[in-house]
Amino acid sequence: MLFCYSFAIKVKKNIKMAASIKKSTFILEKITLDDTQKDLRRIQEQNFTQTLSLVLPGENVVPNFVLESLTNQFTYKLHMIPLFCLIEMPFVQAFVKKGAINLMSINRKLDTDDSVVITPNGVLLLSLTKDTFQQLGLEAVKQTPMQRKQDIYVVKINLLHKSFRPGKKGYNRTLWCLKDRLDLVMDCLVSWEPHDEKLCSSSVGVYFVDKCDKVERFDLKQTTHQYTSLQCPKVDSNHPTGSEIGCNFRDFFEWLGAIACNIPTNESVDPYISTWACPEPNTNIPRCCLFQATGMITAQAIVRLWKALRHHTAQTHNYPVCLTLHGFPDSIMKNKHEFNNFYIAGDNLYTFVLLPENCCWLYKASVSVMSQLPTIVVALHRPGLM
Amino acid sequence: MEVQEEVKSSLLISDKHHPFVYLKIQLTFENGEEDVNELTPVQFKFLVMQAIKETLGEIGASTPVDILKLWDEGLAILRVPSIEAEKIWAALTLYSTTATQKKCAFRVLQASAFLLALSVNSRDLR
Amino acid sequence: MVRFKNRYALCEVIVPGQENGSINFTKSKLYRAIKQSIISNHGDYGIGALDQSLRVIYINTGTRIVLIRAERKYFHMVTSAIIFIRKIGLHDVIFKTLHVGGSIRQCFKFLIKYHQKSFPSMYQSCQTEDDKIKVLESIIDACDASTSVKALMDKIS
Repeated sequence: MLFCYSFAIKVKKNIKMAASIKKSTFILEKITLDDTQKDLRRIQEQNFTQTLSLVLPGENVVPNFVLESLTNQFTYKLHMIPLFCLIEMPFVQAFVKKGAINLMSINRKLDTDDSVVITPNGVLLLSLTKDTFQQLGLEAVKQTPMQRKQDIYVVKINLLHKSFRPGKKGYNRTLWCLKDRLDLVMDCLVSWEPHDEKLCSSSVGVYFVDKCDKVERFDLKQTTHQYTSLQCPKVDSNHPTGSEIGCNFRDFFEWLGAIACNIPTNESVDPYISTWACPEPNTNIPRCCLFQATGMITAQAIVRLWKALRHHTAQTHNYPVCLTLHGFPDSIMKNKHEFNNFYIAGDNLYTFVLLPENCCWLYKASVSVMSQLPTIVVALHRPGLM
Repeated sequence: MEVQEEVKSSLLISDKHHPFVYLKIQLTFENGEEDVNELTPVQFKFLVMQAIKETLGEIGASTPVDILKLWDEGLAILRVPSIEAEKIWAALTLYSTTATQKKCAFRVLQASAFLLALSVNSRDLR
Repeated sequence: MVRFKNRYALCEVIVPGQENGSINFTKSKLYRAIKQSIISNHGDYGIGALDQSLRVIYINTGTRIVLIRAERKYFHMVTSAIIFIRKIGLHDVIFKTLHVGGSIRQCFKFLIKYHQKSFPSMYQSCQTEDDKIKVLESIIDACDASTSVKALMDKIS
């Protein structure tokens, strides 16, 4: 019976635990694709994309432009790089100032390990556990409630700040902390997109060769899956909450997930096993193509892909085309403005659904609670009221 | 659900109520006593229901649990109503012996409120 | 100080077939039946949550009234489990929950009112003059409700 008591306590704890998934943010935004380039801005917000998945209904094979837009990007895996190398002046001068650099640590769990990130706008972020933070002795930014709960401290260093250079007090202290106090080494992924097109983005790999143990090319893993005779829900771009000619936006998102997980949509399954079915109303599409690329995909590559995709769909546009960006669950930043956190799950999804009439649905699905959401809603509501 | 209609021809909906939680689980048997690859979806569902019945009883077993996909090696995606999610999670974790006295375990590999998130295994990038 | 909050369910046990008969099972038999029902309907979780607090407080074999106590937080499990009890020992039974209260006192207050309401129907169903007089006497007794509660409380303690 002792087991029973301890079990009841365990379940009570569990209930608190899973609350973080239940509070996931789920936002649908309808964007008109016009000159304001709101869609491009949204893509550029997303810095660290782990996986990109593309659903192309009506296509048999992956079009060439998709593969092309992802090829001229070099990502390197740096084995055991000491962190002080990332604030050294030659690196800052040659790469951070002259291009958009994406660097993040891998095989590091955000909730239990230390991790590092350099964003394209030249900010180095360290996410540290309490132990490391106290030994390191660098100042942390204000914690979010979730970080306070998990005892995580984030140190923010602006590499492009004008007084962040050798000889200055702040720089010297940072270098001393990272070099002499604690010898932090991590495996990192890095990719660099130079502002000057004459430079080659592979030079970042060459730079790090003698700084760390080993540098290797980190290629994207690409998979394709062809579907024949697939049931696809109809979408009414003006009525996302469901109407007679279009299904609910949430059901459509679930359908997208089913496609990505290879769940059969048109076979009848025993209702004892599953009661899921393709949302109504739906049509049968003869063929569909699913493309997935995994690795570190930069915002620039995605922008190229998105432009090509829009150009392509302008000609043949019958079914909704969907592009999903899976952010790294363990990256410190969720997008440009928000901290990510990992607690059971660290999902961070952006899904673009291209619809007829120059219209686009953007789904934002992420685990942590977005506290500033109500203010956004109010700000948007006000012009309508007046 | 908050719906903001027709503000500069854009629209914003935020929905914090998630009807389902998706779990990616794996069934393993001790010492390979039984081949998990040979399990049919019906047998798999039966084991899941056994697990729920053991800890949550008949009333707990009335929760609609869907097995959306079953792969080789006992990997499966489960869809459970989010209200009962953590109880079912606990029930799966506590299951240890099948009806035929074989030792087994369900492992919850991934959990999310979005099915799309389960298509990518978040921490397997090497 | 924080009190350990309980709930009490006042139930009538109906034996199908015999409307006014008495029941003959003990507290422990009833307790075991409830426990068994919780295990089968709410599993290990249910019994783990309720085992400490579940108790049969009072059982009246003549009027077929039972009083069950359990922790307030998980009380819904008790109320849902007792409706599934079909047999206690060899007797077929059906449980009818009359009242759910926060204290024994409140439950007995309700019980007295409940019995008072049943006097008129008892009076009408009487066959002989003697029975009618007995019912009338007990109606007069019942008018002094406060002493009755006290008497009942004394009886169980």
